[in-house]
Amino acid sequence: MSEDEGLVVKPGSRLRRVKGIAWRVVEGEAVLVNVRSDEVMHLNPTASFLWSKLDGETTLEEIALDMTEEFEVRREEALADVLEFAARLAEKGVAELV
Amino acid sequence: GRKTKKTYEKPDMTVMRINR
Repeated sequence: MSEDEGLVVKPGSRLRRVKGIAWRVVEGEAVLVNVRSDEVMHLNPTASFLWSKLDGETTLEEIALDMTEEFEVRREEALADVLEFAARLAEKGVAELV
Repeated sequence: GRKTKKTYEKPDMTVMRINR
């Protein structure tokens, strides 16, 4: 599921972190605070790695490739997971398409 | 010089509501 309410996330898509989201990485795991939706999010290490790469310039495909160098995972699996999770972040309102 | 890769797990997150 990388499509939600018209949002289409592709390998060439670039996402960036939404301004106003307070976040910090502790021991390799990110904690995000979204005061607009009154939510706190805790990301696991791979999700935190992805989150830290959302600079609005790096494509999701490049992030997946970086992930294969950092973690023991095949490129196809990494790309599929990156697309799915990026869509979830956008759906939650903490990341946006550039 | 080979880098040791970390164990992979599917990206996931836990969402908690704040009662302000």
